[in-house]
Amino acid sequence: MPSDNLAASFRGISVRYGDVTALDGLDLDIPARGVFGLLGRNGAGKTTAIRALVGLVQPFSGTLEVFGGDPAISGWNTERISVLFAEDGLLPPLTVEENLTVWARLHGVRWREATSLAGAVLESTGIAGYSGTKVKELSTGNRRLAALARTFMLPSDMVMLDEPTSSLDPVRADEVRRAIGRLAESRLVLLSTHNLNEAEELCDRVAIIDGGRLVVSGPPGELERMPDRYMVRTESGGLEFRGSRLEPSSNGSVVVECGDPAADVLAELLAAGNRITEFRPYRKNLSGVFMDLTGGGS
Amino acid sequence: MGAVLVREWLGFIRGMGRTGMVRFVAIYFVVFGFVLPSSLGDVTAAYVVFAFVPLYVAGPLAVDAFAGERERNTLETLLTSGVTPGDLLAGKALFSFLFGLFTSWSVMALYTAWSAIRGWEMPGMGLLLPVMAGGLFSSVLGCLTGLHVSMKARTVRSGQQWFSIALLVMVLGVPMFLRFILPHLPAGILTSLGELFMGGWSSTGVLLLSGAALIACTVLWLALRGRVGGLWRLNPGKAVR
Repeated sequence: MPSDNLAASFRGISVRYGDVTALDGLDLDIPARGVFGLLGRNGAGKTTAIRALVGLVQPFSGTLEVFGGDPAISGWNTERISVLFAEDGLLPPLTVEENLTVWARLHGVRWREATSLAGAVLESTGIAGYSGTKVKELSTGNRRLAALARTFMLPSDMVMLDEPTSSLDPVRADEVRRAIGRLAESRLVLLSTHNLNEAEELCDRVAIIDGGRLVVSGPPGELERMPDRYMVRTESGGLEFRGSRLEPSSNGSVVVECGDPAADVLAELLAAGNRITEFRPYRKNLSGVFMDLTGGGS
Repeated sequence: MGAVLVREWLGFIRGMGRTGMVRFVAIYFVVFGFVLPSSLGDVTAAYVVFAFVPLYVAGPLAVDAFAGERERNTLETLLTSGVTPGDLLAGKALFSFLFGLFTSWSVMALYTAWSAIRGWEMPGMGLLLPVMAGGLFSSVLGCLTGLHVSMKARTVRSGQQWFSIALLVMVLGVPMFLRFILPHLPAGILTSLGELFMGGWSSTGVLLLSGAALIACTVLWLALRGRVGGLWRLNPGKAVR
């Protein structure tokens, strides 16, 4: 049972499509507030994890709780969760406003209120000028914004966004990121993305999944710190360490791989006669961590 | 259900556009509503055509109901809109049924008005009422059959192909079967069958056929109700947890 500060909890969840295993014993806790990034390569299981959260796939093993219930049994929790899939799901022949109004109607909102909600969210998303335009006539970016407007339109406790800024220009993408930041003040935003810079900028926590399993989860800052590696610079460039001579990389630094505490490693390097000018834990950005952990790096 | 109905209506009308509207009017109001019935030369035969029109309207609309959503990548989002399985099915069924019925009755009304203007033989209520009832039945049948096909079909095209086969069976298969089987029946049975239909539209035979049609439609509807929940399972299979 997830605690009050957890929105969802996967325990050993496995999902198959025929003979294909999309999630393979996934264990994952998703907090109730902030921006949570779901990262992984194509086919890693991100979309299936989102589908499981909304009850669109039936796990064949494990337990999943979303806001205290099993979505595969209790079904779609429409009042608490809002989702934008990679495919926007807008009806192309309808105008943007009609799409949003019909969406609100499907949620039981009255016509007049639905129209006013649609107008307000289109205004705040910056595409009010396109409210009367048919979706099929919109540019890809504006279509994405219209879909985002639909996702943000009704109140919810969890908003799930699958690649929300794909196909947006940098200015629009930045606006959307700021909107996501505002949303996350009062609810959980689950962000599935390939854009690691975006994840690094927006997410309070990220989870990297690969082959349907959790590889690592935590705040991006913690993942970027590699506790068993240290970056060292010396006056001579090279470094003597445990009987070996380590040559500097092109940027003049040497990476020492060692599981010992930083103070012990530093003392050992000094004792070996190295004249050290810089010593710090080696850090990678999220992209580097991702490449390392998902086999994308060398 | 009302919201689903409006969504279907808007999607259909907006999606059809002017060209689609012209094509629709040309096919159903000109060909089925005028050219075909007036070429038959008999008022009863002409009006029987109107009873079959909904099969060709409600059916294809119903085929598009779920297969079209799949093809346009809107089904997943629709399933997360908060609509219940019952409302989703009822909204989609009602739209294709009503549109099929509306088309049938309106082309019949136009043809009747045209017949009156031209001084052609006019149908009596004894013909009009059964044809209207037949239109209602074929609209229900087309709609339910189309929805069954649509639930399974991956694309509208494959759905239409399957529906065409079902349509062939309904429109041609049943008369051909009767034509094959009737000559082989003993004379006594044929006489009894003939007596069942004595008295025209209010005969026991017609009542029995109507009852059978009602039962068939109920079974089709209940089967649809049983299947619609499966749309929410994108990975059909047995859970073992």
